[in-house]
Order: sequence, then structure tokens, then C-alpha cells
Amino acid sequence: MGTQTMGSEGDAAAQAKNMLSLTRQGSLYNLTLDEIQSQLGDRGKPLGSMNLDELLKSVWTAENNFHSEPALSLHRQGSLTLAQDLSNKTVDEVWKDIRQKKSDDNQENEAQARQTSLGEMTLEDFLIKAGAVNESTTPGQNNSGPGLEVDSIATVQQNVSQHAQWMQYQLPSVQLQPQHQHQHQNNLMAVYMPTHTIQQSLPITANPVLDAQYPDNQMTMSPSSLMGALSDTQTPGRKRVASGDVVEKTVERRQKRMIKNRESAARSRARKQAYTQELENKVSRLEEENERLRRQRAEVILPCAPPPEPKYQLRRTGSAPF
Amino acid sequence: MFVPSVGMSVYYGSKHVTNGCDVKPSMATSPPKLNITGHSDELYTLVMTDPDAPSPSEPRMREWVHWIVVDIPGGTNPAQGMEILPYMGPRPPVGIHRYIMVLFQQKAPLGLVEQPPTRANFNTRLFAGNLDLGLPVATIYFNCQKEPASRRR
Repeated sequence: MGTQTMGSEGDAAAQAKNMLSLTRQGSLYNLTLDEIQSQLGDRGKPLGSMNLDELLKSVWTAENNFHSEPALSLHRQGSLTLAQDLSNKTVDEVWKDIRQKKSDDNQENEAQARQTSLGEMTLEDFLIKAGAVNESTTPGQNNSGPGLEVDSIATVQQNVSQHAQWMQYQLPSVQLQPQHQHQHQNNLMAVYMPTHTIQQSLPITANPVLDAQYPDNQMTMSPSSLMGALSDTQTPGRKRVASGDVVEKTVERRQKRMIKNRESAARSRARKQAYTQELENKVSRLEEENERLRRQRAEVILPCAPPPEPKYQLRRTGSAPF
Repeated sequence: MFVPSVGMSVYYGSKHVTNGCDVKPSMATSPPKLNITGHSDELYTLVMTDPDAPSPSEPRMREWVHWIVVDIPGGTNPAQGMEILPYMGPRPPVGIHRYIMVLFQQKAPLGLVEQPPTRANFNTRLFAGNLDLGLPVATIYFNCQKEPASRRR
């Protein structure tokens, strides 16, 4: 981690407690992720694919350069240590998690309206949500097993339109991004390729975000309904002289393949999670039963510790002695 | 969501089916040994479906119904009930499918229930609604995928 010139002031400790207090000091945390990206522009790495670790590092070093006051260099490692798994995720993944958490919580369209696109969200909000998201998304949602697929079909339509809306929010941020001319596109850009195919890819690319957990079957329905619509438009253009059309179709096909692959991966993860959950349940059930049986056995043995029958009773005592 | 209130144990051969476990199609060609708890004076309905038909990424035929048995007395097994739709073993053409067995408690004997016109696009919820079955009292599900045709090289 970068060297921190420790604020000599004693209240550095107090300030470290609450990250939000930084807002009063007009730090980088107030800026939107877009603005941060432009600040970090010369770091050379696109925001989306950065690990949270790197992102925070860059932010901190930028802050230190930005503010000369030592009081603000309170970014001791302790104040913002991320959970192990959180820091290894890229910004994009965490963003997906956040979106997923949102669509889990509120199924209304208003929820989508409230959310800003990734670029427009402030870093602070993002981190809060990331932090909050990471704590609460634990694999504890599989208790009902498959959750009766049948359940979700009604909500799927709703979800599809939600994500169509979300895509529209993404567009503005896509247009903002091109300002930051990086060598390599960040993940957002790569997926939402700003070509004329974007109209078609919009519905498709909505789906990777639906890294739904297994019982949440909304994901499985929407790709099919959207893909169904799209597959009709696709005609096999093999063996034709390479033209713009064919190239475009190849690209489309590749995108679709990628999306299908992602969904498959998500399903696989969900399956694995469900299985693990089931195993854990089984183990705890068995342990409890084991414990119960042991106790039972102990109780049965102790009171029945046979008081040895007085042996001499085996001799005849009743009959007349001779 | 529902609360399970009846025990249901499913065995394909010697394999005890637990949620999310894997079963090979070759092991599931015949109906499983299935036992339920519940009161002996209650009747139960069992439905088995595949929500991932024909493929999990494109479940156009969701759900594909594999088995319907009604009027199963509590504490017994489907052989004691009335088989409305004969058992059909899993034959997933593409991908890994989930197969769900749902048990409902009946309010009254159902007798000869009309067979669905097709196994495709079945809707368990609707079916239960039509027969006034209420929420499930037990479920179990397993995964199944096509077995590789030839031996691995």
C-alpha cells in the first residue's frame, strides 16, 4: 500500500471511524465515478475492470496528491479494509452485484428509476453499496429448493421491462465514456459496442447482469424470450463473400455465444451453491441427530448400570435345608 | 413460499435423491421408490416436472410434465394412488435440467382427473389452482443431464 504520511493530529483517529465524514472535506468520494475516472485518467487503467483494491489505491494516492493537508491523509489501511473477496472483484462485478441486490429487493420499476448508471454514481455511494451488498449477499436463499419455477413467470415480464429501462440508463454513460480515450475499452464499453448493432444487443446484454441466484428464476426466462425474438432475425450467412453484413452477424453471433456462456456459468454457480447449501443443511441435521442420539444413549446406560443381583440369591433359600 | 409439512423420500435404485443431487437418465428410466409421510386418512397429489425443457438456456417448453399421480394415501407411495399421467423418465437433450417433484395435500378425493393434452408447457401452479390443491407440502429436486454416448477417450 502506498506510504501514508500520517496526520499528526490526534483527530485522524476519530476521522478514520466514519468514511462518510470525508464528504465534509470535499474529497474525491464526492465525485462521481466518471469524474474520478478522468482524474485517474493517466493511471492507464479503465475504471470498470479495476479491482476494488486498485481503485481504492488510486483514489487514495490521488487524494493525497490532491490535498496537501495531512489531516486528510487519514486513509489508514484500517479505515477502509475491504473484505477479502470484495477487494478481488472488479468494479464491474461489484456493480452487477449491486444491481442484482436491487432487483432482488424491489421489483418495481421505480427502483430502477432511482438508480443512476455506474458512471454517475458517486464513489462513496458505490463503496457503501458494495460494502453493504457484500455483507448481505450470502448464499442463504436456497431453502425452498428450486423455488418452484412456476413462480417466476409472472414476474419475468416485469423484469424484462425493468432491464430494458436499465439499458437506457446505461446508454448515457456509454456516451460519456468515449471521452476517456483509453487504449482498451473497459468492460462496459466492450459489451455495449457503440455500433449500429447496439439496438439489437441491448436486450441481449441486459441479461448478463441478471446473475441471478438459482431460485430467482427470472433470469432464465428473460433471455429466452428475448433471444427467441432475435434468433428469428438471424439468417445463416456462411459461405458468402465477406461483406459488412456477414461481419456484423459474426460479431452478433459471438456476442450471443458470450451471453449464453455467461448465463450457463451463472446457472452452474447457482447449482453449485444450491448443492453446497443442501450439503451444509444435511451436515448440521446429522450433527444434531448425532448429538441427540449420544445423549440418549448416555441417559439409557447410566440409570441402568445394573446393580449386581446379589449372587447368593441363586442358591436355593426357599426349600428346606437338609 | 411454502412450508414443508410432509416428509417425502425418493430413491432411484439405491440412490437417495436429495435437493440438487445428480441423477443419470439411465438410473431414472423407471419410477422412483417414493414414500411419503402424512396422515393415512389424507390424500396427496404428486407432480413431477422439468422446468428446463428443452434446454435451460431456452426453456420454450417449460414445464415438461413427467408424472402425475393423485389420491395417494398418506404414509404410502404413488403405487397406491391413481396415475393420471404415466411416468416418463428424464431425457434431457441439451444442458443440465432440474427435475422437480411436488407433493400437494388434497382436500378431497379427486378420482379420474383429466390428463393434460400435452406434456409440454405444463403449469404446476395452474394445475394446483384448478384442483384447489393449495400450496405444496413437500418438494424435492434433482439435476440430470444427458449421458455421453461414447466412452471418453
